[in-house]
Amino acid sequence: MRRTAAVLLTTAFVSAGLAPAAVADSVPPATERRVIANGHVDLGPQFVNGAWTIQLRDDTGDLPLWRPLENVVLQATSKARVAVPDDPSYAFLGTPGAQVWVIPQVQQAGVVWPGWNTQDAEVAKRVDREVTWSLEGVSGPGKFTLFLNSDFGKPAPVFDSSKPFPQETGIDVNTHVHGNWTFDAQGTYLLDIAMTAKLIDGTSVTDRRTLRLYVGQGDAAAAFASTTPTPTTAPAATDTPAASTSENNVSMTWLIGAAGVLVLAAVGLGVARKRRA
Amino acid sequence: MKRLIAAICAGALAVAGCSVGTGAGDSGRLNVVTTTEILADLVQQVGGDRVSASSLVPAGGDPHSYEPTPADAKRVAKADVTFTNHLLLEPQSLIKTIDANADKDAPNVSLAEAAESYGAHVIPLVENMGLDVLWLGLRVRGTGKARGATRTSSVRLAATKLDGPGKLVAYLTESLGRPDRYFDSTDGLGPGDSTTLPPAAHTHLNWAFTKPGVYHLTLTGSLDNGGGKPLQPLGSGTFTFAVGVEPHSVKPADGGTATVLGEGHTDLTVDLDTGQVYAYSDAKKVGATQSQVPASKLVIDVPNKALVAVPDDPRFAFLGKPGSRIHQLPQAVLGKHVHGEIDPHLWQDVANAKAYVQLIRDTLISKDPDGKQTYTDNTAAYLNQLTDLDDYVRTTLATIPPDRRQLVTTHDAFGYLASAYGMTVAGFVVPNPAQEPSVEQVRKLSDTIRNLKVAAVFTEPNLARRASVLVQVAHDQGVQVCSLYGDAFDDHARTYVEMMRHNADELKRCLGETR
Repeated sequence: MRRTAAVLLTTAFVSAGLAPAAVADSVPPATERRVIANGHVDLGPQFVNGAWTIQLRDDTGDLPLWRPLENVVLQATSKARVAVPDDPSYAFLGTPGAQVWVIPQVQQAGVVWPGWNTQDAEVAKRVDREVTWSLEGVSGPGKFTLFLNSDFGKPAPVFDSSKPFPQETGIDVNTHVHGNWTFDAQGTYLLDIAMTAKLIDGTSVTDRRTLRLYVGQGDAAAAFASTTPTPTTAPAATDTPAASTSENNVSMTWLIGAAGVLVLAAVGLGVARKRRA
Repeated sequence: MKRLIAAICAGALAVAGCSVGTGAGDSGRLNVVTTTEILADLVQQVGGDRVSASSLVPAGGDPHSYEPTPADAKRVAKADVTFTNHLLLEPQSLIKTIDANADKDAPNVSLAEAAESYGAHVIPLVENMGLDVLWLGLRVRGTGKARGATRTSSVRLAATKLDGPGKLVAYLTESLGRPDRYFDSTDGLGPGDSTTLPPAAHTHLNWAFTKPGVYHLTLTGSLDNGGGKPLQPLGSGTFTFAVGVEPHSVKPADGGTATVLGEGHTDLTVDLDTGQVYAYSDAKKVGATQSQVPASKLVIDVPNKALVAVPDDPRFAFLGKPGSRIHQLPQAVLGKHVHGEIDPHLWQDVANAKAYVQLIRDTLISKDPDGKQTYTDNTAAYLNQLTDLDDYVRTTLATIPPDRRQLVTTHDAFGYLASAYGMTVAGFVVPNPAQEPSVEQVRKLSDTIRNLKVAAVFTEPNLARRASVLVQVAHDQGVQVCSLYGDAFDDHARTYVEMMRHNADELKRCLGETR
């Protein structure tokens, strides 16, 4: 029963979840590109020069840093490789015994540990109740899912790229959450995501960007070259380079056109409202 | 329809402004249609003689399950203004009837959400009660530099003593469903019941208890700086858990007044700098920065809503036989709220009714600008009444001993009452009265009443059908059955003020005596 550090949440969590947000706020955004394959990061909204912007909080260095999403690739290395268990609850991952990559909900030594938070000081102060996080589309060589472990380990799905888009979930304000990110093939995955919120002052904010992930031991930096349709709803902060290095790209299939998605993103909250069963 | 309205008014002789007329213009008054009687009363208080307000859901009806009639559609079509509460109070068919039939020039206001801009306090809807509990983890704080600790040091946290009526298992379920036990008293506590964390680490666990009652768990820390050197002893701390029982009736280890932790995020913590073992908790304000609470002053609440059945899965056999019930604080609490949905019963907090009233005032003025002075004056006078009412409810409930403030009700309608006036929602038959309770829900309710030894349970006058289960369980356990108004009036309470006064008086009458 004796445990080792392998499954523990380490140093990063403390600064991520609990350090006064002012520490992070005082750090200027990084401009350089970075592949992150180990340590704690969080996806989350921030007001950047007043504009609601999805960023990536990077706790892998000495000081926490909010990075523009365009400058980051998260890599799931071979350390994240596991076999699908022989358990019908996990059939959505593939056939038992098949190899998949799972970035776990609980930190695993040597594997990047991405969560999502709504703890930026200004976000926590101004957002009314919750942030809507939607997945508008996924491109990649295989299937992507994000799930949580609920009672007794049964998976509670958040996102599944084999289901229709957009998909959405709520993040209560001032919370910090981790989940299990899974992929069933190597290569570059582009997650087209949006975060939308109603502010306490009654106005609404939304931002839509691409989160890049690279699965496997190959050249993760190649994922920077992968491009996605530029969303028109968000301020165009994408400094994505032209896809001139397409020979490095893995094959990409957009599972959904961007056009039909924009409207849905805007009215997502209304669409999701349903009667309590 | 005339007969129905007459019936409503028969019970309402004392209420000014109850009108038999359903059409606009037959009295020259503004014709306002609401979904519920409570809303109609608020509108009438604001509107006075200029307004005739009536509700679609009949007197004593349940708004959650009311099905609209063709006559309702006609009434809506004739209305000058309509007010609904929120989708999760009224069924979709009722909302649709209003949205589809309301005149395009008639304001159609959903009060619950719109009232937020008037200062209403809104609570997200809890979907999974079992997740609406304390989030409890383990943590190492401090650098331990004075003790020679480095990044490669590790801290051993051991469960060295447990007493209580049952067993405790603290375990982590990994990504693919495999449980990993940290502390397990089912085979006694030994050297194996420990875990090793690096400095500044933090982890979340499931905390399972096999029987209700009071448990004391002692955790002892030690520091391993590696290199074959002996472990340096750190301190230990004894934590008290109130499992299924009223936490305020439980003494903490030092025998003084307990800090009860029942929500938010807390870690049982070993501090490398001070050597102490304590709780690191955001108990004072959920979501705020965590602060230290000494182990000896703590009572950790593991409420009956944390009751779960052991799954029929051999990997979890260490928790007991499949189907047996345990209390468990879960390792992750995400998913307790339904995305985008709110608890619709805002008026159970009088401050929210004040927000409704101001929104109603401004809506009526927008439709009938000539009545501005009347609406403004009526509202000011009524807000004063509501301020008095709020004080009355607050001071009345404040007299109930802290260990008696448990609400067991027919449906989940009293979250705002609990939040505003310091009560606890201990359990209910079903979340929504339109649902039938499952066998498991009835068992859980029965356990809750038994474990907490509540003095009374509360039925709602308009939910006689749902009350039978609660009355039966209460009868079996010799518990008093009292009444609270939730979503509707009856013959005894014909106004919002009467209803809330009754609720305060009834709670005091049924729970107010010292145990």
